[in-house]
Amino acid sequence: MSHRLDENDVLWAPQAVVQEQIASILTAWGMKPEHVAATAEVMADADACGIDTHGISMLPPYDDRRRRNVITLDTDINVVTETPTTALIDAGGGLGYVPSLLATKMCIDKAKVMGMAAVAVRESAHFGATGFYTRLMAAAGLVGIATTNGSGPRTAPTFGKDGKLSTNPIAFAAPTKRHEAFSLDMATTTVAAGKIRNKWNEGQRLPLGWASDADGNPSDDPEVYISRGGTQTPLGGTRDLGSHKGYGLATMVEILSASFSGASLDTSPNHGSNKPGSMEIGHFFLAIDPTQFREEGDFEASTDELIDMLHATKPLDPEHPVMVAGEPENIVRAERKSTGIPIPPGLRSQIQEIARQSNAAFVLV
Amino acid sequence: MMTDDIKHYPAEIIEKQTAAFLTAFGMPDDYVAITASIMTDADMRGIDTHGIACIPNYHERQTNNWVTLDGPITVVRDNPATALLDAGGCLGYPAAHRAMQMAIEKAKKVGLGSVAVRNSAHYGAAGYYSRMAAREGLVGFATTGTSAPRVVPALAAEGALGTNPIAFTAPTKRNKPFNLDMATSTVASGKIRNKAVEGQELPLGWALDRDGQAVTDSAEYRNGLNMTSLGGTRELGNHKGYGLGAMVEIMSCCFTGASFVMSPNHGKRTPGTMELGHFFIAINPVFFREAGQFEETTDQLIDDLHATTPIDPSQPVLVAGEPEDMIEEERAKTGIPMPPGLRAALAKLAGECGAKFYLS
Repeated sequence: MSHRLDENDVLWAPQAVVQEQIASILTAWGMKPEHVAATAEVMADADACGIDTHGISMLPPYDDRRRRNVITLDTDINVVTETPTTALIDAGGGLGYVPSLLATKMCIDKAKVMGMAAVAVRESAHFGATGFYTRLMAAAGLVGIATTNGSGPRTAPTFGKDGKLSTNPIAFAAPTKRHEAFSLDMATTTVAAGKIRNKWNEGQRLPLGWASDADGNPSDDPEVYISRGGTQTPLGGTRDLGSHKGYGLATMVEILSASFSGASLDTSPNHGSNKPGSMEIGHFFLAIDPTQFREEGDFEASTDELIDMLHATKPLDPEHPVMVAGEPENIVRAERKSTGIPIPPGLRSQIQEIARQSNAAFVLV
Repeated sequence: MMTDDIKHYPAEIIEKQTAAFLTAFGMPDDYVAITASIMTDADMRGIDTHGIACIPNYHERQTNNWVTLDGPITVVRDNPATALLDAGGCLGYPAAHRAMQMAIEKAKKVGLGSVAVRNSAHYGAAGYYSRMAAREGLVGFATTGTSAPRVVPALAAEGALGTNPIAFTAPTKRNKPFNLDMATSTVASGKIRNKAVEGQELPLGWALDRDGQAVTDSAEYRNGLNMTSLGGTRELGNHKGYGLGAMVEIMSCCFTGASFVMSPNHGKRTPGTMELGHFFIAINPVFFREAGQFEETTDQLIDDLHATTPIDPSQPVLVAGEPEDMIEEERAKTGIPMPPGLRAALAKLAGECGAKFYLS
């Protein structure tokens, strides 16, 4: 497979090349070499499985945050407190990937000994796709949960007009044997902000329930969200369809991510830019070892059986069989192994410009 | 139904009545005390579907030998941070209560505790157990399996999961604990039934017919409707509600070996037990920060959310648990409302099973 530019000017690049590009820019920004390798790997993995909002397309916002001095790329990571089942990590204001990988490893090691472990991270920033970390736990035979708070409080509570919480994602993964791991990774909003932006780019209306105007009324006009102070809805969309549940889940994620770690709350004034060199974001990770409850392999056999049953559910449309969480990403991953990762022309020129400005090699050619 | 016909009873009377039924059904005294107390707590907090209204249903399960009301609770496995209990086929309350107590004890000692329960049945409102943890200064989490596959996965035409609830409670100081207790379906089936009783149209996204098509005519309820996963439609993210529902099924059944709601003959495959599973977690905040700091941050978050500009000034922004807290405060004064239909059913049942009737 080689890079190829298609008729829409989209470059299809192998995952290794995307990873190399990310690494060269992070290195040019002054991130420590051992942090660069891990960060680039997690980011390129998001691109490889179709989570295009959390891979190389994050470099422009990271560049902006670096210039505004709200992240510290050459930071050290410290374990603040540690017990046999728990730990608190201080990420030193850096991007969240490396401290989150450390938190995940600590969860795995501790859960293998104690049966269960939880690690909180403070003084952090964006950590990519939440599901990456829980999939690592599942690969180690454990059930994993991960959460993070965010930096863009654009989600309005039920009954409220103002954006107060971010997309506050939760991820959950469970190990299997015959199937790929069950891997849920979801924002607690109805849709990701990027989906509203895409509709706006294309001049399309929004399905009612995605966004509200500044007065809190449901709106199908993407412009109200983009430029007129509108908000995103919590999962459920409207009060009638249970938006109080999505709002409750988003608040749960905020509590797990900020109350255990002491991170800045999404609701704090100037959240994300209160402290030079740190966005003060928090994460939370938890792992449970199934062999504490049942014989080795029994948990996986049950999970496989559940997935079989869900697959066997009668579909609405025979062309679209019922799937379980994680499978759409697995399908994209298999596809992109042969096609490469699509880099659209707008993103490609942004990356080229960032590479030029920071004297990093540009390899997406 | 006329509101005039609704009588109100103090919590003690409802609890005594609930206990009288459970005793008449053959449940031992120590289980009765715990079960009646948890069921009455649901009635006090306005979760009317999970209190004394469950009694006729429990009677049916006992009569059909789907539950064993004097089943022994056994500790199958016990480790420093985890345990597995067997509920002996009983209603889930006593074993669930014991499980959360064990999770709390473990979390106080080693920071975390998770306890799974197998061989169980309905345990009432999930939020009761997570609130137990918050009363001890811990974060609590609870899930359970269910008995009817009425919730439809994204892209599916038929039900494959139950209402699969998640409860999460966090301790606070100034505010009441944050207490989320939610079905992972868009609405509870009781809400669809209520619309049918009143002849009102169903909001689009609540219910599906047997072919998986959206239904708004509540008269269809008679023909059997399924419920959507939270999100309601694919466009509004029902794959997320479905994902959460599957997560709850995994936590409740895969750690325990309980029967899946989709398993053939689920709930009836072994005499004397419905084979439901539950899962509980407790986490101790002082293992992460100084005592009081977790509560301080959570209180600040709740204050900030309360300060959100409301769409309608007469409807301020709340956090999870507050609607129930308000009802509990109100019912402490007014008593628990008992609609005439339920009261009549309970009176008849009391006569049949020889329980004393206190609601005259």
